[in-house]
Amino acid sequence: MRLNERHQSASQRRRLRAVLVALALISVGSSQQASAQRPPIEKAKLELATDRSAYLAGGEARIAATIEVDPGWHIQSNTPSFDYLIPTQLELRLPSGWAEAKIEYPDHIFWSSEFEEEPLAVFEGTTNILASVVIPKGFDRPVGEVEARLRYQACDERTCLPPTEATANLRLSIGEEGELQHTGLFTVVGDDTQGPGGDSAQVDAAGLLSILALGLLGGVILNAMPCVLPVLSLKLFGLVQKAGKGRRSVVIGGLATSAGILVSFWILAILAIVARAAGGLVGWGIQFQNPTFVTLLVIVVVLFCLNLWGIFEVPLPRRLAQFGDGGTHDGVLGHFATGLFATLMATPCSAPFLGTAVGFGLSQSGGTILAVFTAIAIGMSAPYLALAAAPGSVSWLPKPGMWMMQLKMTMGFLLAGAAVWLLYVLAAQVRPERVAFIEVGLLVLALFVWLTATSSSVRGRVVARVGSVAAIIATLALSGWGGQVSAGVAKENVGLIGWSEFDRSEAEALAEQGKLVFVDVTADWCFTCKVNERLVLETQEVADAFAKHDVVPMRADWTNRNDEIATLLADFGRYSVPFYLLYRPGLDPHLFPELLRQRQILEVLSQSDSGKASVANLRK
Amino acid sequence: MVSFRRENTVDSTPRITLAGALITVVCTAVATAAPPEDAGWLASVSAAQSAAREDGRLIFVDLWADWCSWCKKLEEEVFSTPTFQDFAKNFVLLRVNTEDEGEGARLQADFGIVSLPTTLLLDANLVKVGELQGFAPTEPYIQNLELERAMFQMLVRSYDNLEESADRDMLKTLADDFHARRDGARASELYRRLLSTVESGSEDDVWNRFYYADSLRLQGAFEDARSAQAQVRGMASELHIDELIELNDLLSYHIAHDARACLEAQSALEAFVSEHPDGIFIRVAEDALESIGKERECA
Repeated sequence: MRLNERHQSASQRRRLRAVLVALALISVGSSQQASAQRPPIEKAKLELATDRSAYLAGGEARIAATIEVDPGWHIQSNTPSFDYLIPTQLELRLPSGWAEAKIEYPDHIFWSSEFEEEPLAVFEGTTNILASVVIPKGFDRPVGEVEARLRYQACDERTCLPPTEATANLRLSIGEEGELQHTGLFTVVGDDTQGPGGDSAQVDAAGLLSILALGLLGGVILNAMPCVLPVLSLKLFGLVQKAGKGRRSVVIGGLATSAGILVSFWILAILAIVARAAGGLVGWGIQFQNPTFVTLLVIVVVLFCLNLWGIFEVPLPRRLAQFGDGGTHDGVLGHFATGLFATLMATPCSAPFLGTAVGFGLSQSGGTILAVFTAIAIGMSAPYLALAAAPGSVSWLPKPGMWMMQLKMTMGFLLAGAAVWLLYVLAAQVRPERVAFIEVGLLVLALFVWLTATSSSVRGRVVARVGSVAAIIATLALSGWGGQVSAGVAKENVGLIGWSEFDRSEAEALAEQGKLVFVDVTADWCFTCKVNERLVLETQEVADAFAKHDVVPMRADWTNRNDEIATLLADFGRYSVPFYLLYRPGLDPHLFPELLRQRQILEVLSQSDSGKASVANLRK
Repeated sequence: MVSFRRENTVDSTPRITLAGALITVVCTAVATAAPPEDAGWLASVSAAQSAAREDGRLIFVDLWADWCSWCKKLEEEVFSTPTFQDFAKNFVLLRVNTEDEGEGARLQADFGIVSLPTTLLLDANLVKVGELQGFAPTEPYIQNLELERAMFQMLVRSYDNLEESADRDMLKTLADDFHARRDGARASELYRRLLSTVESGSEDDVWNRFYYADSLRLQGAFEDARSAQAQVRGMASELHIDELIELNDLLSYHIAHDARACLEAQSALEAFVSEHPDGIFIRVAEDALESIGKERECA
């Protein structure tokens, strides 16, 4: 007889229970009342890793025992706070004849909670215990079996569980010396091979100082980036004009611009701190993932451009203008605003070192984030600060003259170019017809701005000004309305390299299978990315090398918000693009710097290939 | 045991003020004046049971172990407070170490307790009235225990006022709950009633009957279990549910086993093994037979 499904599942449940009862009973002696005792609950997992893929007999193997304690739970440290507590202990059982392993326990952390104000020495989250084992010279078997037992006792914020054990096994391949691997796990003890994405949780003062220096340098270099250069020239140009008006105005101008840059970076830092506290993934330049923000920037750029071409003057209220140097439109607030504008323009240009510095900062405490951003701001203000410090140097610049008019026009064209680029960014975010609408909006805005400047009647000027404001509002509304194009829209492959869409699990699986996978994380708003792609990646040499080494090229597009990509970056301690990664079989992934060089790619590829070959030899 | 915390407070707060020092001194005085650790706490389950029988109080059980930091905390920060001592007057206090390989371990196993500290409220027959896991500050700790007691009273009230028409789900929920509390009397009464509700001979109901029979065995109601088991045997043979026949036959061994009639159990098992040479539970039976063979009383 076939039971219908409902009955079947009901009786199956009963059957299961009955079988469990029967199984529980046999293990209990007849003298004791039977009761199924629940097994102790395990709260920690143990995993083993070695620093090389294989070892020479007589060599020393380093083993990392990674303990993963369940969230909300902690286990006692190796040196617990009180005598009666059970210390966490690792025991390595080695093949007979091997000397006992040397075990190094990491520092404990101090744990306290609502009901336990006195800190207890515990381990929680992920903890690495490092051990080293000497393989005896005469050991002639191909594999050394290692059995690890971790004895621990776990508690959460109210209860404790009985002491228990976690076990894991490891097979040490013995023969030829293999490649270094899992370097990130072993760097703690001063290994000279620095793995990418190594934990940057604990940093000493020297590390922080060097990061701040990087930030400073990155800030200086930002000024030379294509998106910031027009702003810098504009500013220098303004200051040159003032050279005639005395040193004081040059000093004030330089300081006010620097203040603008500093304040805007502080705002960014605070936003980053707040976003991180709210649990969001933060990144550098991701404000460019918002089409309304990009549109706002286009509007600002277009207005500046029109200003440079002499179509209109920046309409600052008279009182604000007077606040400055008595008459010209470019008062203190004007300088300050240029500073803000320069920062705005700088965000998508992740300069060399800046990605590392910002990425580092974002993984640290709020104070460090603030310090890193301040360093970048000071770096970026360096030209202005230099002018303010030595206003006399202005005299080294050419005297004002017709050349300034020409420079002004030229910079206007550079800005127009920036506007074109921003529209290109926008084109990846919203539908094509909306881009056209935004462009029409900009055209209408330009028309009204021109009318405002040329209209002879007061009424005409007012109407034109209202028209300008309306055009701005309409354009912004168009950008935000209707949502973004969904992420991951396949881009056409036009270059020499046949990029496929990035998929992390696929990339990792391919690397496991022995393939090299090159990952390019890019975004349309990232100018450095575009430069790298054009000048380095999409070249015959790199394409040939990819073909020769059988590299799978993958591209991830971060133009629009994508948490998977943000997580990938965060895992490698970076928070910005460009980001280039090479997955290598048997080795940790190689992380390339933001400014790519062809030679570097070719070198790393051939090294990784030899690594691949040695892994293949071991497998034989 | 009481002193480690105090010493540590002094160590970890070097900025201790005069007022702080005074408070420490006063606390030390209070702690010294407090009754010694074992005052009022019994250590034997049977002593606690007879004390509970005498005046009808419930037994308050504190299950602890040496390595359990939260147990120490509970002892020092809750059990020592006047509020708790006031509350504790209504109970027979019992403290057992779960690693004593005796009564403490038995209690822990009987109630399937894993995490410590665990507080149990038991009646004189060791029926579980309430259970509280982990540490809590005095006020919520007491409140939770009172809540547990009130819920048990509710459960008993619904048992006392069960209507004739109570449906099977209701009966089973209550029965399983009392079973979990090791209230064998109420649980077996309910399983008996459940057995009487099974009328049809459908496959599903035969499995239900088996479940009730097995539950009755767990309560120690062996006579009822045996007769139910005999019924299941007949029905299962009619329906040819081999798996159930086998399980049911194994149940007869467990019934005998629980009754500690070693020889009876042995013959039941031997019968089982010869009747089901290819059965899926044959390994279970053989293992049981082997373990029973080792026992002195049978040998």
